[in-house]
Parts: sequence; structure tokens; C-alpha cells
Amino acid sequence: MEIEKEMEVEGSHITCIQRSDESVKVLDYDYKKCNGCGICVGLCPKEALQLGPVIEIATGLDAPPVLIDVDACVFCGMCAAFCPVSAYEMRVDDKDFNDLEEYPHLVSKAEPNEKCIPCGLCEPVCPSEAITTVFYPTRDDLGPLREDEKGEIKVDQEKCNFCGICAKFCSAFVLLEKEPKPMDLVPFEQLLVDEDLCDYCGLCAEICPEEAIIVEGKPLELDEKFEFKGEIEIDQDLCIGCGRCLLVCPYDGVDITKPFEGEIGLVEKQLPLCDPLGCHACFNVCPADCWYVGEDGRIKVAEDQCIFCGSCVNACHCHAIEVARSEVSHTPVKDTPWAEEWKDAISSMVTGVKKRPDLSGVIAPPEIEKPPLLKIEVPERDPELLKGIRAKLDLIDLVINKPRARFIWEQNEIAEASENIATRIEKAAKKAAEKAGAQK
Amino acid sequence: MRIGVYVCHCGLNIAGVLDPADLSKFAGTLPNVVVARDIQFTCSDIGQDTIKEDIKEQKLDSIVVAACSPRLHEPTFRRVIADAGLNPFMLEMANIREQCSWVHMGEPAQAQEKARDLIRMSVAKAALLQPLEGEIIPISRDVLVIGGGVAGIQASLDLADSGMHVYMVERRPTIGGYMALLNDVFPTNDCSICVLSPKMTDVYNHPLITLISYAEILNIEGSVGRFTVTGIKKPRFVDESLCKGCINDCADVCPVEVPNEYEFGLGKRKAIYMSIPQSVPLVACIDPEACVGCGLCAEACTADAIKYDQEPEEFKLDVGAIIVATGWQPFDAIKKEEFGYGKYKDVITGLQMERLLNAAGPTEGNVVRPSTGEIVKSLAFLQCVGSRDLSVGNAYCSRVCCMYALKNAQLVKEKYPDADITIHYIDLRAGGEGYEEYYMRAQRLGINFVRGRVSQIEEIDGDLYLTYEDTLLGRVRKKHYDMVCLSAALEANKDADVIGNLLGLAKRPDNFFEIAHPKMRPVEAHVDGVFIAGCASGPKEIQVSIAQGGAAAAKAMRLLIKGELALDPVTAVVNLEKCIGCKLCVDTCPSKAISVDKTAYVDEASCKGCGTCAAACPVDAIDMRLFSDQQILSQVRAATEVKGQYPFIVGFLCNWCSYAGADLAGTSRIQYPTNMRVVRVMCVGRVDPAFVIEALNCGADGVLISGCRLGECHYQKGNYQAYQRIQVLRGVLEKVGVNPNRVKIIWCAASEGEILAKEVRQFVEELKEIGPIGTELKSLAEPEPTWSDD
Repeated sequence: MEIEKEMEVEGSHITCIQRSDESVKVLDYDYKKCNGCGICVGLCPKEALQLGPVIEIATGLDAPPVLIDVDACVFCGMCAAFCPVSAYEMRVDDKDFNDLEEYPHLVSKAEPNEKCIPCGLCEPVCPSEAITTVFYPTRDDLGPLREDEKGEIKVDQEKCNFCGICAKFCSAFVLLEKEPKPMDLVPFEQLLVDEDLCDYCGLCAEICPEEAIIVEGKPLELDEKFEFKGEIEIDQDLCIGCGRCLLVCPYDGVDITKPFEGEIGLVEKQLPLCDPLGCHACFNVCPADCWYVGEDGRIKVAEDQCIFCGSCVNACHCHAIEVARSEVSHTPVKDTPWAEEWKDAISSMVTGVKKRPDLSGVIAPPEIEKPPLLKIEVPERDPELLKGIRAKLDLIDLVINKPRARFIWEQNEIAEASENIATRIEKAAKKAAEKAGAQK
Repeated sequence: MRIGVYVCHCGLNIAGVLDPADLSKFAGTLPNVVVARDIQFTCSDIGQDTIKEDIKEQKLDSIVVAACSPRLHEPTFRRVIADAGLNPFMLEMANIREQCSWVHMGEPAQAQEKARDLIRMSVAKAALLQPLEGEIIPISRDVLVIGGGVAGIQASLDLADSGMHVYMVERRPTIGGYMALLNDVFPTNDCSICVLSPKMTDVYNHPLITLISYAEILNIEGSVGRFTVTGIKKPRFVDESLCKGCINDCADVCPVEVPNEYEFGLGKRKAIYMSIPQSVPLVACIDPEACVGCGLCAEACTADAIKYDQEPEEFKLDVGAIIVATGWQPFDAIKKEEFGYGKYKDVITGLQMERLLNAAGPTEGNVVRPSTGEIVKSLAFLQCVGSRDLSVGNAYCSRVCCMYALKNAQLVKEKYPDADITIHYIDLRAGGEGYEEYYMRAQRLGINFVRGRVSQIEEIDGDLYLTYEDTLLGRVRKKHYDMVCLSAALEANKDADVIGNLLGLAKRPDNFFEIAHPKMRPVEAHVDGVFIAGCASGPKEIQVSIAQGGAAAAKAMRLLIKGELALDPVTAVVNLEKCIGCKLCVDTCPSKAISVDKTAYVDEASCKGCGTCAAACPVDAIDMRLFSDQQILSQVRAATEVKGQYPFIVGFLCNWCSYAGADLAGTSRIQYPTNMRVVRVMCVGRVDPAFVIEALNCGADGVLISGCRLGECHYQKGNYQAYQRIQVLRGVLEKVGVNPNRVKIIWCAASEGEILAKEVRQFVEELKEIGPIGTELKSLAEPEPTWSDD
């Protein structure tokens, strides 16, 4: 069976392809998605992956953080299965590798639960933009604003938790945004009402989960019962399981599966080298945006949002960061011939030690040229001599089928038998000669 | 005929000398060959599958495998082609390993040419192969075990426990062998007889084991599945059914004392005796070489068991398989004169030490100096006495001496902690489970070890002085000891030669019986239906002998369990149209399988397939199914097609001895000239004068015929008939003016690879002297013989 491998580069995609008689495997690596955590490098059973200059990349260099040796790659899919940021996509005969049940893969997900309203507060804080929300109907869907309606609207700032559901419904609400920070994830600092855009219909008060809106005025008459619906969708392929959505959610409305459990810490003695305002390499590579500068001017990390991928460790030029993973969340390892190898890969993400076959003792046969076999020289033989011998041997043929002679041959005393047979040959030869003479 | 040829690399075994790719390319050019391949290991699954696929896809009719000896893998490849739907006899092997690459390592070019010839010969024969059906015959499921030592005991018990009936024949009055005489056994220091004796009584009491003790085998006829064994049971002069085994009554009154062979001369026994207290059967025996006929024992015996009129009893057994467990014999240490064994009383052997240490032995377990009867104070063990010693013809290591010396040294040391004990060794070999630890224990106990052979033992004023070189210190020393124990070698049992000859077993150069393959078939003999267990095939520890006994039992069961056997269809067949009823075949057949009533009739059940009849038949009316005239002639012609070398020899080697001997030369890497091309025949009796004449006609410079040694023919007298026939042919050749020395008949046993190689070397030299075929025509006055001068 022939196996062909090739590599294509297009934009930020480095695509490795392996074609055999039976299958096509495609490993697509989008280096723009890659944050250089190097988990794949540690996992790769063939050492086909190598970590690039992550420190430089983290501070601006445009280069792939991981280099792939396509000749060494066996397309096992481990890198794709355990990439915490889905920088790899592997397809086997057009099927997504991570859909194949016989291989485990990393699980990182956020799933809205029954407590989710939804309100959509999580959407802007998701670092991987995995959350989208849709709400309907909006106030505009219910008809134009009624003219000249009088009334009053008030927001109880004490009660309001900036969930923003009112703003999703009606454009009269204006949320003053602020940059969500790891220590303060709520992306808004104030809720204002533009009364020019309000006709005091009162529906916002109905939908406010905190009863923080008080409206006085003539309610809007509707043909149907008013029902404000919201849908939240979390793209699990994009979700990195950081848990920010849960942290910001006022209602604990989401269940989080973190890809890894573990610890992240700073190395005190290295910190003097750290320039929290100038470098920002850790900020740049962190998929969960969990780095910040504390009030003391020192670098800080929100451990509760960290996924322990370790990209910051690779990016930090002053080696001031330590990550220790203690658990890996993955789909079950099925009983397969490769189960042990994959289990080892999984445990290596915790221990940092991946078993690889030690071939250092293997030696190859030396390339010794075997000298070509020499042509033999067939000795020359005199055909006349052979002819002569044949003539002699033909004499024996004269008696060899004579029973009497053969009885003697087999049974008489040896010398006598030879003598006797020789005499018979003599006679037979004479007879043959006479016969030949007569014919002439 | 569509033939497939498969040339094996056999790793580098073949490819290291020959060029298999070139050979397969060459094979592809031969007539009838439709596919030729070279394969890394033809016997591997891949190789076998390749052949099977080719047979199906290429519609092959017959197969040539150019690889190792057919004696090794012919059964394998027959099975392979049968699996693929071919008749198993549509196979021919070209022996390019044992008889080519392994014996011509320094002459690759000529070896390659020889391999081409061998392949051409095989292809020629393959084109003439016919599908054959082996006859299925009923066979005896009984097994004969020869020898009642621990290997034979284990084999018998395993067979009998599996429901097979066993005859155990033992030449001594008791079974148990040497193990029954040992004191303790290493590395556990278990009491030897305590662990063996239950097995001995099991043999006696087993309903499926017939124990025939104190007996000799006189003759063995027949072959696998149908051996007929005759022998005699020597008279004990004691009725086995009446003797109670109380021995004291009779032996106490017996006035004749003789050295006890079971104490190796250190103890004595009476003329009526029991070998050992645990004898099985527990029956006394009168030694006819010692008894003076006083009659006292008969008087003393309360059971009236003494029967002076007992006569030898003949027995005849029909068995399907035979397990040879004939064991070993101790090296006669007298041959090592420098050690003074037999001259100095205080020089003893390891077996004697066993008896001294044995509580049931002559000294009740006290190790005393035989010269004085005093407890030993200083004792030296000398290793490798008769082992690893070419001066006595034994190159091999006896394998157990290091361990038994370590054991006996420890036992003596434990008994007499103050004794000064030294083991003089060349190399201490303690390979085995727990052995090295055992060695370390001996060191801890304070036993001394000196590396180096002892050159001499002298007795001065009743004390022994050893002269030796301590090779670790590089000094020659002389030291005094009370007593010296020689670790004498284990040698092949000479008494078993009779059995070996009756069965046609091959012997190795070390004189032990040769097994069918030194690695892969450890308990099988070269002869079908015969298995070898224990020390009969070389020195072994007890546990290995037991394992081999079990293995031989399993092999025998595998063979006999069905109660039927498919025979090789190698028999003779008569062409009734040609037969003139001259009866020469009747006279020639060594198996009395042919009768003539107008035309000849071959009784196929009796025919062993030697082919002597076919060679004798004047009108070629008898032919062999598997080694037909046409097949052999085609091989001869194919062999001589090129004649790439001078002198050029065609050889006819009998399957059982000479061909096996040539294979042994190969496995031993004994190098000899490349000049011969071998045609395998079952027996040299198969060699028709016409084959020899054809070889010369085709321009061979010489023809070598090699059979089993006289008296050892697998077919009794095929080699004698061949000798007669070839000698007469030589006479006739001389008369017609062809140098008779171009044809030579020799004898070579399966164990004599060196002899075969030597004969080939010598024949090549002789033929160089004689000159190329036809040279004699020049040297004669004028080629015409005298009678046609007119």
C-alpha cells in the first residue's frame, strides 16, 4: 500500500494530508487560533510537533507557535483531540475526528441549565465569543411607539444587576459598557433610560427578573399574551471551558466543564523581571483573558477563570509563571488496541511525561556491499572424448536389459559377475557388428 | 505442467553466500516454470501464504522450494501445498542450505552455480511428479519405553495416565536408574530416592504399564505404528509373584560376597540380592556370575520363591512407538591415569561420593577415606574429568558436574564443618533456576574454589598430593588432601548401542543419540515413531530428563492417539505389460514384499520403498512411485547440463544416513568442494546401473554413491545389494574401457558429516588424477577393447 503525505499552507492554515488506498486524513492547523500552550507538542507520540518561538510570537511576531513535521506525523489525531483552543481540526474521510467515539478527546464546555433565563449577560464576557443570544420580540416588533403617552419609568439601581435583558428588548435602555476585567466581569456600569424612546408600555417591568424597573403609564394592549423569549446558544467548539459565563451569571444558569483542573502560580523570585505594563505576553496568549495588573502594579491571574493550558508559561520570557495540571476532562477511553497509548497521552498532560518507545538501542545493518558473484568459467570439455566414452557405455546398454545378465549382476560373486557380463557384452557387440555388416 | 519455484533467503543462511534473486530469475527461465520468487523466509506465514496464493492464482501443478533440507521442512511444505488444494506429493525441495550455502561458504561463485544446478534438477523432477495417495493403516497404540530411569518412568506414567498402554523394558533388576542411587539432588537438596520412589511404585502398580525388568531387547522390526519387538527376560531365579522382598532371609544366609555395583565397588552384596532397598519390582535376584549353588537361600526362603530352574523368557511386543530412554554411563576415570583412580584408594568418583553420603550407602552416610576408614579432613573435587577433554575424545560439557560437586561439597561441609574442601574447576557452570544462588551458598559455607586443571595426583606415604596451576594467581602449586573426588563425565551408554543399531538411530560425534533437530525437535529421533528422552541424547539434569520424558510421551500420544497412520506412498509399483516374471525382484527385495505369479506383485503394506527391486529389474518393469526412474534420470540430466566445474560429480545419497550426514556437514558448517550434485534416493539399493551410466554419458567425471554403513541399512541389506551392483558395474566399466574409479561407493552414517565431506574432498582429488571423462581413451593404446579388435 502506498501512503502519500503532503503539506499545504494557505493563510493561517497549515494543512497536512495523508492519502492511502483506503483513507484520506487531513490535519488542519490554524496557527492564528493557536496560543502556543504546547500541549500537543508534549502529547505527540512521534515527536512530530515542535514548539516555535512562543515568547516572540506572544509579543508580536507573526509565526506559527507549533511547527509540524509532516513526514514524522502519523495522523493519530492526539493533537486535535486535546487542543484546548481547537487550533487543530482533523478529518478522517471527511468525518470530524473528534466525533469518532473510539478516540477520546478533551471536553471543555458550558451548558445553560434550567436556571438560565436567559439574559445574555454572559455573551460579552466570553473570551472566545462562543455565546450568541437572540431575543424576541423586541419592543419594535410590537409596533411603533405610541405617541404622546405619559408616564414614568424608574430603574432601581440597587436591584439592577446589569443583566441587560431590558436593553435586549427595548432600545430605550442604554447600558453603559465597561471593559470586563477578570476581577470585575460585569461589562456594564450603569443602566440608563432614554425616555424619548419610551412610551411607558410597562413590558420591561414584566421581563426584568429583579423587578428593578418600575413603570407608570398606560400599558400596551396586545392581541396575544406578551411573552419575551430568549435563546442562548453556546458553540461548544469555540468554548474553552474557562467558566467566565458562570462567574458573571447572576443566576448560576450555566454548567461548566473545565478542560483541566490544576493550579497556576507566579514564581516570586522571577517577578522582578516582569514588566506588567510593557510586555503583556501572558495577556496576549491567554485564551481566557485571565491576566490583569493588580492595584499594587503587579501581574495577577484570576485562577478561577484559568483553564491551565500553560500558554502563558511558554510565553513568559522571565519564566515567572508555573502551571500544574491535576486533571484532564475527556470523553471515555474505549477498549481499543490504542487505549493504553491514549491513556498515557492523557496522563502525560498531568505528569508532563509522555512515554515514547526508546529506539536508541536499535542499530541498523551496516551497508556492506556484497561483492557481485563472479561468473564461473565452465571448463572446456573435449566432445570427442565424451563421444568415445558414450560409445563405450553403449556397449553396456547391449546387455543391461537382459534378464540373465542382470541376475548375474545382482547375485554372482563380484569379480566373476563382471567377467561374465563383459563376455556377454563382447558377444552382443560382435553380433551387433555382424548385423550391421550384413545390412551393409 | 505449471511449476512454481520459491528460493528462500533463510535470512542470511542462504543469502549470505548465494544470490537468491539471481537464482529465482534463473529458475524463471527453466521449462514449465510459470512463477519464480525469492522469499526472505519461505517457511514463514508470509512465505507459505505466497505459495498458497500462487497455487490458486497461477494454477500451479507442482512446487519447487529451494531452501533447507527436505529432511527439515518437506512436511511443512507438503502441508502448505495440500492446504492450497494440491496433492502433497507435488513438491520437490532443492537443498541449497545444508548442502550448498553452509558447506561452500568460501566459494560463492561455484556455490551459486551448484544451487542453479540443484534448482534445475528439482524443476526437472517436479515436472514428472504424480499425485499420490498415502495409504491409511491401522496401528498399535501401545508404546515401548526402553529404560526405566527417571526419563522413562515419567514417559511411561504420562502415557499410562492418558490411557495408553505402555511396556517398560529395563535391563537391570530394578527401575530407577542412576537417580535412585543419588543421595540428595540439587539445588533443593531433596532426598533423591524419596522423590523418585513413589514414581517407581506408580509404574509397578499402574494397570496400563507392563513392566518387564531384568530384560534385554533382541530385535526390533517394522516401522512407525507397527514395530515388532522381541526380547528376553533374564531369569532371576526368584519367582516374582512369590517373592515378598524380605531379602534378609535369603541374603543373610548367602555365603557369597561380591562388590556391589550399586555402590560402585565401595560396598558389597550377596549373590542373592536386591539392587537397592526400594527396588521395583521388590524382588530378589540371584547373580548367576556369583552364585556358587549352595542352595541355602532356597532353604531360607519362607515363601518358596527361589526357583533355580527358572529359564529365560522370551517376549514379543507389538507397539506403535518407541521411547528410547537408555540413559548414560559414567566415564571410566581410570583412563585419566594422572589422577590415579583405581590405583589410589582415596581417589573416588562423584557417584561413589553419592553413595558415601547416602544414609543407605556403605558407610551409612559417613564420608570416610577408603584407605583408612577415617572421617575425611581435607577433600578436593576435580571438575571436568572426562568432560571438555579432547585427550579422551569428549569435547562436550557434562552439564551436571559443577552442580553435583557443589552439592556434595556442601553436604560434606555441613556434616564436617572443619573439613577443608576445595573445588578445582575450569569454569563453574551454574546456569539454572536457583543454581547461581546455590553456588553462592557454597562460597558462604567456606568451600574453596581454585580455577585451573589439576595436572597430577600423587600418593606419597598414603597421602594425596595435587599438582595444579591456579590460573587466577598464575602459580603452580602442590597441595595435600586426604581424599579426592573426580567429577567424572556422563558418557553415552554403550549398552544402548544395540538399541541404536536395531532402530537405525543416528549418533552425534559425542556418541549420544542424535535428535531430529538440535533445537526444534528435542525428543524426536530421525526415525519416525521413535522418541528419545533423557540422557540418551546427552547429559541432562533430572528435571530436564523428566520434562523430556513427558514431552516424548506427548509426542508418542500425538502419533498414536488415532490408532491409524497415513503412510508415505513410496512403494514399488509393477508395470504388468513390461514384467517378464523373472523373479529377480523377489530375490532382491529385503522386505519380502514381492511375489511372482507370472508377473510380479508388490504387497504394498510390506513394501518399505527402498527401491532395490526397481534398480535390479532388467526390463524396468518395477518402478517407484516417489523416486521413479524417469524422475531420477531427469535429475541426472539436469545436473549435468552445464558442468560448471571439473571434476564434476553426480552423487546418489541414501535418505537415512548419507543424505542426513551431508545435512549434518551443513549444520556443522564442515566445508567441502562444490563439485558434487546430489540426487536423494531412499536407499542406495535404489541406484540402478543405468543411472550411473547416464551420469557418465552426460559427461560427469565421476559418480559417488553413498549409503548407510554396512549393517546399518534402514532396509536391512539395501546397501549390500548396492555394493554388489556397483562393484560389478565397476568391473564391467573396466572391461569396456572406462576407468572404474570414476564410480565409487562409500558408507556414511547420519552422524558422519565429517566423513562425507572427507570422501567428497578425496574423490575430487582422485578424479583430478584420473582426468576429465574420456581421458582414459587417450591413455589406452587405442580405445577399442580387445574383443572388438577384429
